[in-house]
Amino acid sequence: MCSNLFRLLLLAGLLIPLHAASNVAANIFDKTVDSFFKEERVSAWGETPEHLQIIQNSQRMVLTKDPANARFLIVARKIPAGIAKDSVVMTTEYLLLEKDKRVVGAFFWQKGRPNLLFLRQRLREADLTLTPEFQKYIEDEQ
Amino acid sequence: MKSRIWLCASLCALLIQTAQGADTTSDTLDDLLSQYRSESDLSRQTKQESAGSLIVYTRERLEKMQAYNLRDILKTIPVFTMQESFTGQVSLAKASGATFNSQFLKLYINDHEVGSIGFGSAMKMWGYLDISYIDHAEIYQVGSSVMAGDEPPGIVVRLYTKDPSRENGGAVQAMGGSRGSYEVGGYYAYKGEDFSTFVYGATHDEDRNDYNSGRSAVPVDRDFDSTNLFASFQKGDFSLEAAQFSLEHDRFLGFGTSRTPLDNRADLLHRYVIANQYFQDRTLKIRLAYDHASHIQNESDPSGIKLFNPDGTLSTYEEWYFDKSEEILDAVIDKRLLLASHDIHLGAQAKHKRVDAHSLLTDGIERIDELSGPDRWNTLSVFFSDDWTLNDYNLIFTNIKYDRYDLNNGGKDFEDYVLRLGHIYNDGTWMWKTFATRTYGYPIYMQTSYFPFVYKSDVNLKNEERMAASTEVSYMTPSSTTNLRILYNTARNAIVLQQNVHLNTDEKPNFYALSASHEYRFTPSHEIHLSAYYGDDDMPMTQSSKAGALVQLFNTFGPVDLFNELVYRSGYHYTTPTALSVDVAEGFDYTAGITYRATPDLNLFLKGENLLNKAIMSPYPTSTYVDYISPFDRTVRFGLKYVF
Repeated sequence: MCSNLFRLLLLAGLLIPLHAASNVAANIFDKTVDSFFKEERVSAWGETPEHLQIIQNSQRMVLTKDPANARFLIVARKIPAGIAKDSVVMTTEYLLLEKDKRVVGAFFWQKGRPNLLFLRQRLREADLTLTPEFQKYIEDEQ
Repeated sequence: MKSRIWLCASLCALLIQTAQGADTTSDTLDDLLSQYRSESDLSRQTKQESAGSLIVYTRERLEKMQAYNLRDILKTIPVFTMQESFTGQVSLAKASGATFNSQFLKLYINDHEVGSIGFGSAMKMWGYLDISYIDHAEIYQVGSSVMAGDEPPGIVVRLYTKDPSRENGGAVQAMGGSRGSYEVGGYYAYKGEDFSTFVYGATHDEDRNDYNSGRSAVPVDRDFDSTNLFASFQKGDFSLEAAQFSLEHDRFLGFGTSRTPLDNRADLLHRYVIANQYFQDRTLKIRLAYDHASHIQNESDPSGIKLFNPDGTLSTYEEWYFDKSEEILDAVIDKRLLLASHDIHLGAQAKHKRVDAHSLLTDGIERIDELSGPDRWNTLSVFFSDDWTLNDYNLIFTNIKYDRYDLNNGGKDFEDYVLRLGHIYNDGTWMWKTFATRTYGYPIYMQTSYFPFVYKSDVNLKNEERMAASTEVSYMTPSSTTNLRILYNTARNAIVLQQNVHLNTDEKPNFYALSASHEYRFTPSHEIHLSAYYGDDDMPMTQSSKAGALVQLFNTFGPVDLFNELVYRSGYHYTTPTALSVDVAEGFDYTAGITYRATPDLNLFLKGENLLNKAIMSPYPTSTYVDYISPFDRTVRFGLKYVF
């Protein structure tokens, strides 16, 4: 049934654009992962189907089903229990960025456009640095 | 001629600049965010390729067009020419034909049809809708998916409001313009953990050029004021929407014999509330909707207004006043089934519609007791649709809808149906769509019910039957989309207006149209849209443009967005039944706009409409003379938008 739905979406003209958006999102996360880790590939966990799609499309992330094994996590509503101490957490929901201090950055929609945001204090506390390309996306926490 | 040469040269220069100065694609974070925004446009989620020949106005395109009013979209639709009726309503004329101001033009806001059951067309008032709260728009020509539409369609305009999960904030916008026009509005969207909400409000005062016919010392006005309120709430699988749109407008030339109105006004108000609840993992939808509209209209013309009496004779009055309201109660149940390679929707709909006349005065005399004919309609419908994937590249779709109308003893009950069949081939590069539709149009209140009016109604009017077919081919690359489209439609028992009498004609018009479009994205910052069409029917009279073209140029230079648009419509000629010659010259409607993004949250904009003052005219013939007036004034608007 999933493959039929896949075909239906393709024919309905939906799937290619959904893939295209997911690919671009993957590129954005690849740059972020590159900047944080500088390793070839990083194990990553995603909370939602959209997150999983991004990780699968990524050149820098390898999907892991166990969040405890992930170096990089993309979450929406909450951070799973038992994650590694040195893992890096980003969210696609601004509310979670506000609520949970363990989240260092967010890729989210606001004001009708996609936004990329990292919080300076949280990066410092997690001993993380980003390359100069990211400087305009780093802000102090309000 | 000089202005046309200047315009062409400027556009060519901009085109060359676009091509030469185009940046090669880089993948900076800003570029990627911009690309992500384009690729994630909500139209990609809502559009239904199987629902008809489709034209999409993405959010980005609407913003760069500086489209603030539905008319900004309507005038660009191919195969149609946007006009205004002589009572000031927005209308569309299909190529070669007369004004298409009928129930076949459907307008939906978030899957809810808005319109007038009394006067048929959504354009009764919604043609003046401000669209600052709209995220994207879709135009479907030749049919729409019956499960998403609750009335037999022809051309469908679907508007989708902004999504709270994408906005998560608010905006205020203020705009001033020529002749003291202004518009002020704002919206706020909130997305919480469990619910989201969106509220919008705007008020618009448009002062337009007066028209001096020379037949009266009093110029003819066509100003309008509107107020638009909208709110939505969503929690889980439940959503609620409420809206109110009010429009006061001058009724323009009006009904008078010499079109010399003293005081013509329409005071229109439409409110609706809709509740949607999904069940069974969002495969079962129940929708309840309630619409209430009030229409108060008055005309005053010293040259006399000829109105039909109940016995079919004509009498002349100087004043006409009509106060009525309309209500619609609507309930839909829609079940989606995914069975093997079939995506099926089946469901039912019950609708109650009523028109209540409160007062009808001619020269101050109440005549409400003379009204007769159907004013209550109960409709029961069942529908079925199936999108069947044959293989990786081919899909066949079938839509069937059966309707039964009960006119509550006001007229003859009837049954009818809508059938659509089609095929889509899509391999990601080539797309080929073909479909055929059989639909119908039932006579509306003003065509069947008697009230003292300038047109003669007939309670025995039959449904008109319409058949349409279309085939189109699209070729898509990462930077371009090319489309070629052929449309055909015909009608039996078409309801027409002849010598001010509504009747079913024996003529069976055959209409053909060919349209082509090409969109090319030089870079994410530079884009051009081109389209052209030719349409004609086999009727003896040509009453609107047969050919048209559209050029839209979108350029971004740093924080500045430029927009240039040229809408062309061909001229035409016909002779009226009283041997009057109507000659409409070809029209060139040039619009240009600049948006300056002063900060990420503050935009300043300047827009000029019909800058050449050469937009196509609409003819308004009477028995002895013809007025020619363009629906578009030469207008400059400026303003700002602040997002927070």
